[in-house]
Amino acid sequence: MSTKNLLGISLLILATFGLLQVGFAQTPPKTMVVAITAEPDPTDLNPIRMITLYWMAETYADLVEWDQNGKTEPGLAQSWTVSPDGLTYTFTLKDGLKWSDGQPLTSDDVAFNFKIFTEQSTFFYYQWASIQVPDSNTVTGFALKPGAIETPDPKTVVFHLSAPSATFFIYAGGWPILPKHYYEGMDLSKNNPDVTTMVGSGAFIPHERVPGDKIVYVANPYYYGGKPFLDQVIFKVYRDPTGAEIGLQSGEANLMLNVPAQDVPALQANSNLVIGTEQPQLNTYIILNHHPKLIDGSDNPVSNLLVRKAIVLSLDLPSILNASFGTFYKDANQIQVPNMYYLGKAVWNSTIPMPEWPYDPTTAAQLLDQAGYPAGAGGRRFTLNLVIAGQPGASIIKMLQLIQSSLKTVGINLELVLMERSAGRQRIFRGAVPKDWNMALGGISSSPDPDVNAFYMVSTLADNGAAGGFNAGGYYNPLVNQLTVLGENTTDVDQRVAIYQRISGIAHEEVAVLELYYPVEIHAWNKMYQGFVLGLGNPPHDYWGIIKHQSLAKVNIVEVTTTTSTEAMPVGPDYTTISAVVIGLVAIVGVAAYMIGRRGKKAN
Amino acid sequence: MGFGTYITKRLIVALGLLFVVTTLNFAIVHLAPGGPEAVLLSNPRLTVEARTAIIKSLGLDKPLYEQYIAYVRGMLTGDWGTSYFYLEPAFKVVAGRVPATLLLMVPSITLTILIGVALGILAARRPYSLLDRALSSVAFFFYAMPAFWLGFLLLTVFSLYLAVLPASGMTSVTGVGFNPIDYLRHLLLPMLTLTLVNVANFSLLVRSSLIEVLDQNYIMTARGKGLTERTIFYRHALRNGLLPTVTMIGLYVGFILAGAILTETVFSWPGLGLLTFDSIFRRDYPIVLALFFIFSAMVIVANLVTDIVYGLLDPRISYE
Repeated sequence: MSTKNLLGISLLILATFGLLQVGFAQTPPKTMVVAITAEPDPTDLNPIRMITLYWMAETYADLVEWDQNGKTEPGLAQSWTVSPDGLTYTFTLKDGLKWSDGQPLTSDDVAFNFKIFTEQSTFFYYQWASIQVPDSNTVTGFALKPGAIETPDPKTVVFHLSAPSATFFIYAGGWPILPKHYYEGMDLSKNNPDVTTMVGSGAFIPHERVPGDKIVYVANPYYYGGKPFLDQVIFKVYRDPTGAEIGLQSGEANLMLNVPAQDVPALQANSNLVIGTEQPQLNTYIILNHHPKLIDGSDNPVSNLLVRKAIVLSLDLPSILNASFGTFYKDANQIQVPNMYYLGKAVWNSTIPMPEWPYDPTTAAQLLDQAGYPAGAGGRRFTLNLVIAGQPGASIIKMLQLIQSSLKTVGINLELVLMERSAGRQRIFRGAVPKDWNMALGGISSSPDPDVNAFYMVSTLADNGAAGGFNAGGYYNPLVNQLTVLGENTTDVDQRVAIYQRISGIAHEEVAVLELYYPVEIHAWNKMYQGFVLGLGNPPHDYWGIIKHQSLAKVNIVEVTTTTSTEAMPVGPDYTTISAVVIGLVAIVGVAAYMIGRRGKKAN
Repeated sequence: MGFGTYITKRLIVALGLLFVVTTLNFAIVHLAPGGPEAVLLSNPRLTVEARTAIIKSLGLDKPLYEQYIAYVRGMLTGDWGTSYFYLEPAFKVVAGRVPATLLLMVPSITLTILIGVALGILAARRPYSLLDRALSSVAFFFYAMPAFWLGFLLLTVFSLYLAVLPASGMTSVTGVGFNPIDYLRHLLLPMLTLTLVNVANFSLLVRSSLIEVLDQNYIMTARGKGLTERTIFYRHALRNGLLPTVTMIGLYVGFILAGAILTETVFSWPGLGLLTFDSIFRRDYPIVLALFFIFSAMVIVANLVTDIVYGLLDPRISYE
């Protein structure tokens, strides 16, 4: 290699490093970048599709908001009344409400909102059954009953129900209100709105979307809670949590949602980051197959109550969960989640013990003997399988492996069957009844009403226990079904809460499902960003309360003193040092190549 | 048979092959366990009526043969259907990701070929020397390394510890306007990942091929004539030694998109690879089938072009 070439290469490398520093785009002021990993690329920002509901929590405000304790507080509506017969709901909007484009937000928008969801959204139309009539001309087959919604003046909306509904207030009050002047005439069941022109009432409105990459939200100057401190919030999609964590630590992102529990210690070691948690209304449990036979005709031990009790008694769940999740979980002991409220009253059944079952492998073994499954050679009794659909994180895998080990001690051999998400869900939920599995890992979002878990986890109403139903294990108790129907139609708060507490009690006694834990969502953010309000949840989207509009509107960037402690994130050498090292290496390699080349020439 | 006839026959065969492959793609996708219903209908709050309405709106209630006929008709007319999840024409969704993929693929392919060939030549010039052994060792090291692991390694070093390169995406999250330097900074790590993993392949192939050529009798004759080693290598050996590389390039271009799936996932690069990954998991059939069609067509076309180029380069090949 000639000296000229060597010099040229060195200069090229130096120039590259220079460009690397110069080329970095400057961060606009008052921007927060949120790293999202829990969901794949938001496919659209269509407000009537469930898929993108979580991306709209900052864009559309609701009539009613809920605080961290399940207490209602004014949203777009300043007040509301319910008639004594439960058939008339009246919401009064706040004064001076505006959409982000300056147009007034009125009762016409609220009425339109219900119309569009009822007629176009197959995901949600049924929730307002008491104000709907069948109509074969709409996408959903339903239309609003004539006179179901009245708007006597721009600030007042009156709903006339055909029958009392325990859930109407929660769904109606907690649903994002869409702007009529923007969406009228748009068939959202077939088309997506144009992101660049979107209009909303929340703190931040989508402004730009790069598919597979990011969504840029800009502050809404007309937000009813006051203009947000930040100018824009960018949701950046990372396909892998590791990439997101690197992005957070390098400063590319400022807030990361859903940090895996096993990665928390590494982030905690960075003194520039803050770790916070939220308790969504999620319930993770094991679905137990209650059918006496599997599809191949073989016996299903799990259908026996004694076996189910033996299983739960053989698990030291608090230890298992602690080993798997550290402190980032909450013990589960019933089908309702601890932060489930009905009109401010907790639905939690405090009579169910915590932990739900004591760790007693001796009694577990006795129960298995009693059930007709004595220990055979090597202490083995029978084999069960547990199907897992999707890509569970390392913590969940660890938990399941510990459960596997625990069951082995009482002679139950547990096979873990990990399946790709779609194939797994089909096997668990849509497969023919009886099933070909004994247990399956399940989870449910309980929001926004206690009826959700009661209906979907343990009832067989509306074919919920058949193929395709969410009660995939087919747990059946006619009393639970009756109570579930009663709960849907009871509007008295105390009575309704008592109904669901009783359902929880029955499900506990009969080990309808194997309760595991209530997930805790872990978030991490740069400590320069302050003002987050954690724990906002409730209807209708209980994920990531930290990014609801009420929270994001309060976030601001605060200058903090950078730390020089030993706990600080490791920072590498500066550009000068790097350049010097690289040039030195290039020089050595260049000289070596030159020497080798000269020797080669001499040989020729 | 002349060159023109050969090309025509190959084109006909290629079209037939494409039809067979797309039919197989359709069959495999629809016969695989799971389906879009498992993802779309995962909301337990959906009623039976809602589920039926959704399935019908997606055309999934039709018999499989009817869906296949619609699919073939769509392929021929350019209508690849509507994405179940994006609610946009599949063609539009896929086309939107092509620029990102080209931005990553074209430089990667170019660098891989150039560097791979150069390193192979360097190693073959002094076979079994210290330099050759060093280059081969490094090549095997990167050849054996999984692309995603290398990607994370580079991310950790350059984005986390050195903090000189961004961690993800195609542009700065907060950047505005078109900034070529910004694109370049984001491109460096994913391109480096793809290049390092694949350049090893090329360099080893070129090296082996050249060493084999250098053992041929005509090379001995050239030496006997008193030509310099440099002249022998670059004028007589190199052209023949690079012929297998042409085949390799053809195969590489065809399959590189599939290999980019992991790299795009690691770096959150919004290209076709990431779209493939997401669409397969969601069972977004229109997108999946459109992508499989593109990948299949690329492989078939790349093979056809390789055959043609090979024939042009090697006068020993006739079109009989």
